[in-house]
Parts: sequence; C-alpha cells; structure tokens
Amino acid sequence: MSKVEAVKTDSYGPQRVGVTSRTDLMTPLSSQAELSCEGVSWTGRGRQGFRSSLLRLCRTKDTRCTRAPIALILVFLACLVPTDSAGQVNPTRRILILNEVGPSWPLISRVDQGIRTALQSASYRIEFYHEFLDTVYFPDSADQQMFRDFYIRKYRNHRPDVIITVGSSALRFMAETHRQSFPDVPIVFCFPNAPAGPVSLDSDFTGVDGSVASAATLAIALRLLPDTRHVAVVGGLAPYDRRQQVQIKEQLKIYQDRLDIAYLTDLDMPTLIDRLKRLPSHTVVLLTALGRDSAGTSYTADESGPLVVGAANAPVFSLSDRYLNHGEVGGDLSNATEQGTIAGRMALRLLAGEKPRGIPVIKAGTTYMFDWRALKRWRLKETNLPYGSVLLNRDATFWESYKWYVICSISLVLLQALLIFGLLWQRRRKAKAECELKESEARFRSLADTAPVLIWMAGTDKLCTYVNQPWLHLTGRSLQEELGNGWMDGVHPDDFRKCLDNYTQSFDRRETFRMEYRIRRYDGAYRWVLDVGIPRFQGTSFAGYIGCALDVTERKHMEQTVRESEERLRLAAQAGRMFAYSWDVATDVIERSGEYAEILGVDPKQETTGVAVSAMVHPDDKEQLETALAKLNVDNPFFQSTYRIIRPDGVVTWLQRSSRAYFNEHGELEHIVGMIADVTERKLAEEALSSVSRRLIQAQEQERTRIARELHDDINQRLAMLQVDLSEVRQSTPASRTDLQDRVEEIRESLSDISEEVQAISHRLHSSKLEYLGLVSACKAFCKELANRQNVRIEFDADGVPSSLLQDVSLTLFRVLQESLQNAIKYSDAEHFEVQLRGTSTEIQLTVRDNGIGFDVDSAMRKQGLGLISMRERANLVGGKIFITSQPMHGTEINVRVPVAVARDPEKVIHNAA
Amino acid sequence: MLLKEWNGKKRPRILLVDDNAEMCKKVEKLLELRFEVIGSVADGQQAIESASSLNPDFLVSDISMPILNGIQMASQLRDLGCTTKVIFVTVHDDDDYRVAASSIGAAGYVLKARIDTDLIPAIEMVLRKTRT
Repeated sequence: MSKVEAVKTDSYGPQRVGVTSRTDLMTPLSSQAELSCEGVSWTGRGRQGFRSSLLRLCRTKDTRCTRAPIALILVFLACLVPTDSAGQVNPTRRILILNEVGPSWPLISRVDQGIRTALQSASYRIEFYHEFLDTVYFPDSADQQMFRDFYIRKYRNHRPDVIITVGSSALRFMAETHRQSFPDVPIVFCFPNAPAGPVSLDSDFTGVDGSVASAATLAIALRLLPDTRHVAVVGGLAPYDRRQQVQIKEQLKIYQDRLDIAYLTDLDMPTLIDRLKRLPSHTVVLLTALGRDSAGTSYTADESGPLVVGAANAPVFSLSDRYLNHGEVGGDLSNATEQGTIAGRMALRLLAGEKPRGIPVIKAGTTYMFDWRALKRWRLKETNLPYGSVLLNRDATFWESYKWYVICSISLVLLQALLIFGLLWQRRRKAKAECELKESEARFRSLADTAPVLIWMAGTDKLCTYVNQPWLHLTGRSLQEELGNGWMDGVHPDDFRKCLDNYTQSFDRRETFRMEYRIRRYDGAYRWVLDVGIPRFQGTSFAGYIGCALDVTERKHMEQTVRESEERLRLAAQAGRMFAYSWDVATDVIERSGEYAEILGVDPKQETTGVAVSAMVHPDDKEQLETALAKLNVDNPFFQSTYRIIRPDGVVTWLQRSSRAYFNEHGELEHIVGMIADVTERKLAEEALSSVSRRLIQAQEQERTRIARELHDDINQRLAMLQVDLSEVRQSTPASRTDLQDRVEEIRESLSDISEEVQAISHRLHSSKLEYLGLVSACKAFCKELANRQNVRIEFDADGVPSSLLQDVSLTLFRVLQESLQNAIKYSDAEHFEVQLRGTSTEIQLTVRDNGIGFDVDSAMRKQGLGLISMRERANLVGGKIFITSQPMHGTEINVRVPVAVARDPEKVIHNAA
Repeated sequence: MLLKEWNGKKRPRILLVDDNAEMCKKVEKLLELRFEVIGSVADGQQAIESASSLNPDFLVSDISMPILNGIQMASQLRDLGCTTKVIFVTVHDDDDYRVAASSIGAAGYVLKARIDTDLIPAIEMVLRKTRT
C-alpha cells in the first residue's frame, strides 16, 4: 500500500482521502453493473447497506488475507439477520446518463463508477439508463440528430428524474432540447470541455467542470528530470482532443522560453510512433487526449496510451487518469471517477428535492497520480514526487506483502524465544533451587552432626529415616542399625511401651510430642533423654517428623538428688521439730511449712498472722523479741532469738528462731523468712545439765569434805597418837623386853588398822578389784559387800562375759551397777535384788531388778536426778543404752546394753580373773 | 636386774616382781640367805619376758603393778605353760584376791605387812610340796 496520499477537492471543500490500492480506484463498470443487475434495490444503510459493507470488505484485495476470516464470520452473521419486510418498497427514481462516446471508452466506465458510488446512499430505488451519442464513431451531424430524436422519443413517456451528461456533445444536446423534450428535468453535467460554439445553460443545469493541469504536470516532469530540454506534446484530432489542446497550449506558454515544446497532434499513428521512437535526449512526452489520428482512426485511451508509451524513448507524462496504467509516468491528472462521484452526489441532492440553481457548478480538482513501474523504468526518484501523490502499481515491498507473516513469524519466534527463555529461566531457577536445597541439606547435615543434641527424622510411615552423628556416637551403633525401627532396640525395657505409645499416638494426630525415656549407651549404661518431635509439612501435605533429643541424665540425677534432699530436709525438720516460715509485713500473713501446727499447737487450717503469733509469745520474752526485731535493718538483716511461747493448750514451748529480713529500695521492711525450731527438750536438758553440774560440784565437795574429814579426823589423829606412842617408847625405859615387845606390837597393830582404813577409803574411791580381778569379780564383790552392809539379799549371776573388756566398758557397767543398786536399796523398800551380767559376742547386758514399790519413769527422767543422768551419760559415753522399766508396786528393772568393742590399747583392757 | 651368785650350792632361784624398789630391796634382804634371788623387775610384762629367759623357780610378785598386774601376769604364764611358781606379796587382805590368785594357780599369797614372818614359810611349803 502506498504511503503517498492525494489531496482531493470537491464542492464540499478540501478533503484528504487515503487511497489504499489501485483496485479501489479502478473497479470496472462491469462488476458494478453485475451488482445492479441482481435486482436488489440499493435502498440505503439498512440490511442491504450492512450486507454491501460486508461485500466491500470482502472485495478489498489487500485486506483479504487478514480480514477474510472476519468477513466470513460477518457474512454468516448477516445471513442470520432477518430480512426487511417485503412491504417496504422504496419509490423508484430514474437517472438518465447521457454519454458523448460509446461504452468502450474508459472515460464512460470511470464516470459511471463515480456516479454509482455517490448514489449508493440514495434512499430510492434507482433505475439507471445509459445512452451514448458516440460522436467519435458517428460524428456525422445527421447521425447525431437521429440519435437525439430517438432518445427524445424514447424518454417522452418514460421521463427521467435526473439527467447526467458526460461530455460536451451530450451537454449541447440537453442545452438545445431540454426545454421542449425534458422540461423541468434537472440536468447535471460533467466533462463539459468547452463545447464548440456557445452553449446556453439555464437554471435547470448544474454540474462539475473538469480541469487540465498541463503546466503542473510539466513542472513535476521537470522536477523529476531536471535536465529536460525538450517536450513532445502528443494529442489527437478528435473534437475533444483539439479542445483540450487549446487549453494546454495556453498553459504551456510559460515554458516556451526555456523548453523546446513540439506538438505532435496532427500525425497519423504510424508516423507518431516513428517520431516518438526518435525523440532527442532530454525529452519528456506529454500525452493529451488522443481519440483520433490524422488518418481518421479512432483510439480509446486504452489503445492510444500503450502505443505512445511503447514507442516513446522518453518518459511519457499524462493529464488524465484515463492515460495511466499503460506505462505512462503520470502527472497532475484529472480524475473521471471523481467527477462522476461529484455528479452523482449532485444528482442525489436533486432527487432529494433541491433545485439545480441551488447547487453551484463545481470545478473538479486534479490529483497527482503516478505509475510506480514507470518511475522505476525511467529511474525517477519517488522522493521527488509531490506530497500526497497517489502511486499506482507499486510492487508491494517484502514488508507490505508479508507483513503479517513476518509479524506472525517474529511474534512466533519471540513467543518461542520467550517460552524458551522462560523454560531456561525456570530450569535455572530449578537448578538453583536444587543447588540451594543440596546446600541447605549439606548445611543441615553439618549442623546436625555438630550439634550437641541428638537429631532424628522419620517419614510418614513412622520409620526413622535419619539420625545424626551424636546419636550414633551415643548408642555406638551404625546408621543402618538405627534406621527404621532399629532405634527402639536401645530404649530401656521399662520405658519402651510408654515411649512407643506416645510416639505412635502423636504421629497419628500429627501433634508435637515431648517424652523422656532412657536409651542405651555404647557401654551398656542407660542415659535419660528428653525427646521433642515436631511434624513436618511440605506445603499442606504431611512429610513426617523431625525431632531433637537432649541427654538429661545429669538433670534427672540432680532432680533425684533434690528430691532426696528435700525429703531429708523434711525428715530433718520433722525429726528436729522445725518449720520454715515467711511473714509478709504488708498483709501480716504468715506462711509456714508442715510441722508448725504440731509445734505451735494451732489449727493448720486456720490462717495465722503476725499479731496472733505475737500474742502467743511468753510475757517475759516479749521485750527481748521485739527489741531484736526492731534492730533489723538493711545492713543487719539477720537475727537469731530463743524465746518461749504459750501454746493454746497452755504448754510452754521454747522456740529458736533464725531469720533474715528483706527490705525494699526505701529501706522499709517487706518480709521476713526463716526457720523456727522447737528447742524445748534442749532447753530442759541444758537446765537439767546445769542442775547436774551444780550437784556434781556439790557432790564432789561433799566427797572431798568426807575424805578430808576421814584423813584428818581419823587417820591423822591416829597417826598423831602413834607418834606419841613412839615418843613414849623412845623416852621411857621399858620394864622388861617383853614389855617393849608388847608396846611395839601395839604400835604395829595400830599401823595395820590405819593401813586397812586407808585401803577402805581407797576402795570407796576406786575399786582395785575391777582393775585387777575384772568386771565379774568386782561386781560380785560389790554385791556381797553391799548386801552385808545393808543387810539385804542380792543375787548375782554372770554368764558369757568376755575375759577381756575395755576399761571404759567395765567401769561404766560397774558404776551403773553401783548407782542402780544403791538407788534400789535406798528407794524401793525392797529386800531382794537380782543382778545379772550377760555377755554375747556383740554386747554385754547388765540387769538390776528389784521387787520394790517402783516409780514413775517419765517423772523421774524430767526431774533429771543425778543418778539417772550419770547412768545415762556413762552409757552414752561407751555407745550403750539404758532402759528403765518400772511400774508402781511391781518393782523396777534397769537394763544397760553396751557394745563390745575391740581394744587397741592393752593398758585400757581389763582381764577378768579366771 | 641384779643377779646374785651363790657358792656352788644349788638353791631355789627367785625373781622379784614389784614396782616399788624399796619393797624389792626389803624382800631380797629377807630371802637372800636362803634362796638365790636372781633379780627383780618392775612389771608383769618384764617378768614374763625374764621368766622365759632365766627360768626361775619362783616369782615373788606384787599384784598392783603398771602395764600388766600380777593376776594378769600369772594367768599369761600359765597359758604359756610356764612351770615357775608364783607367790603373791600384796597389801590386798581380801578373800576375792586370794580366790582369784588361787584360781590362776598361784602357789602362795602373803600380805606385805607379814612378809617377815610368812614369806619364807610360804616358799618352803611350796618346796616341800614339790619334793613330795
């Protein structure tokens, strides 16, 4: 399709029209006639207008490729559109087209095409009548008159509504006859071409006048061929030819001075051809109308054009679109079709009721039209053509011919390239993702294998698919052994069922689980692990589990240790009669541990407060307790105090309180925590011990006093008397030897008595028999001596006592015997006593039994008499125990059990005499 | 330990055992005219050791001594199978001591207050019983 455009002018003003192809302009009359002969009324833009639009669309050559499928679809749709009702028949109008020449002349068909094109939009049914004066072939005036008469008679009773004349002879015919023959019929003329002789046109005429643009065409020729020096104007001798030549000569006068213009208009065709063959160089041919040569031979444009072009050795320019398309270069051409169109539009207006005088005569414009093939033949530059020129026969460029193929191909290639690029991109992304996945996998493995925890993975079938290196190191097994259900071989039998149930149930519910179980280590020892499993999902689909197990054996041991420690602490608190407490100052509420209710004698369900507890404090201890509490401060938060409370049941209890106070940032007391112990027994023991010590000191003093008195009052006195006796013996002279011997014997006996007395004193202080004769002999001798002295009966029995005993053990048992037997004789009112000494391989038992009045053991223990205390303390010193059983009126039994220890120091061993 | 020689005649050999040196001298002076006092030791342990080496005929021993008293000493000598006769010289005028001494095979029991009159007869009575 040409890019060149033409500017067209008509009575409606300038209009730029885009020309798409030669075919549009050169549609032959025959095809149009065929359409009109179908018997279909061209009634406007209704269904037929739509259908015709479709048909036009289908006929369009250069859009056939792309639009054909669309057109077919539209035709199909048009067939579906219901036809107009048969009753709507438009009124008929007759248009008579009166032509100067015959139908074989190209001019006629072109004008006709224009007329029909313009009348397509008419709202009438148009009947076209074509008549031909044919002045070329029948120039004789008699012939012409005969034609005129015939036509007048023909349409006398078949009056046309509009007459269109084509050519000057037809116009003259109408001008001369219409008043009589076609009165009031409006007449539109085209191609009037200055008819020979004056023609008077009245108000029934209007029309379009053609133009000859020979000067403009020559100007274009000179522009295309600047070296042109000669111009050969070729024309004929027909009336129309000559009239046109007059106008041309007039127009070309402006070039007479600089160009050699020759008029080859009165030659016969052979001569003309010969002349044209021998034109000088730098010549252009200007082909004008050539309807008849000098030999009288008539030529149509389609005949004369090829002859001239074929003969000329120079480029042939023309003035009319009829002389184009035979090899002519072209020029500023009059356009027959356009004139026909203008005439048709005028006719349309006249049919609509307008009057001819209301429609001014229009001067038809010319159009720059060129034949592309001729331009190429003469190597004329297309770029030198005027802007808007119409270029015919231009070979479509490769791009124009195959644009859609190219576009489709390129699009296809681009699409394929895009697809390939997309696929490659996808492939690269996939490869990158796979690479990242591998890297991620490797990173995971590396992390998992170096992590200080046991990591495992399982598939959707619950079977283990992976365990990390620390797992394998712990179990000492291979990966293959652990995979699947192999890992469960190492689970402790006691934990197996619970572990398996937890695992499978959580798996089935896709839930996270935590469980603790024991797993066998490489050395057979079991380790506690805390295992946490989390379900994995890929998108929304379940992909198995991943889990992490941590060795918590140390923690378990610590927990066990803490539990045991807490239990020990609880037992200790229970045994030691202690409880912990916390006192909140703000609320005055005291929280305590378990043993407090028993110790304080309060209801454990009742909430206790600081005020309530303060009220329990013994009045004598309140001041010191409050003073100790008042001294607490941030620098001195600890305090320890021992005080008494009076329990609700009236029992006085000693408490020892060790506490720590806590203060807020303002130094104000917030709360106190601490331990409180029931120290009543200890306090009583301390008091008793204090009493015992005092009495021991008293007893010691009494014993010293007694020994001193015995030594001083008895031994010393007697020794003094012996001194006196010995002095008398020395100073006096005895009467006889016998008398002297008697005096010495008296002194010796006195000394012997003193010696026995000293031995007795010594024996009371410490029994030498125990040391030299052993426990059994010493006990037996003591029982015998005491029985004699106190005049009671004491049965002594010994059995199984080891021959060698530790000195401490022997002395303890002997002293217990002394104390218990003396107390029994003193307080039981009994006369019969039994003493048993029994020995086994591990212990020695001493039992002292009486049948006396008995006594209250608890009361006696609370009174902490010196005898009982000394016995218990002595037994404790050698690891022994003393048991006292007594009932009123049923006697008393004191049983001492002392373990037999192996002696390491021979000096501390006492051997029983055999 | 003091050893005394006698001019060829074989006399009963006696070892003295007492932690009181004065008492040892007194007893030695009392016995030396009739018996061979081969020495004196201060406790029962030394007496056992000397008896095994010197093999005396008599041990004239106190009861109250440190380390090993007379009763223990006599008991151990008997357990060792020693045939040396033991005669206790003691201040314990007590039948329990006498019974204890007798039970462990002591040959005599003499109070220190009466050694001048009772010790030599006690030794001689043992000698007579031995001869018969």
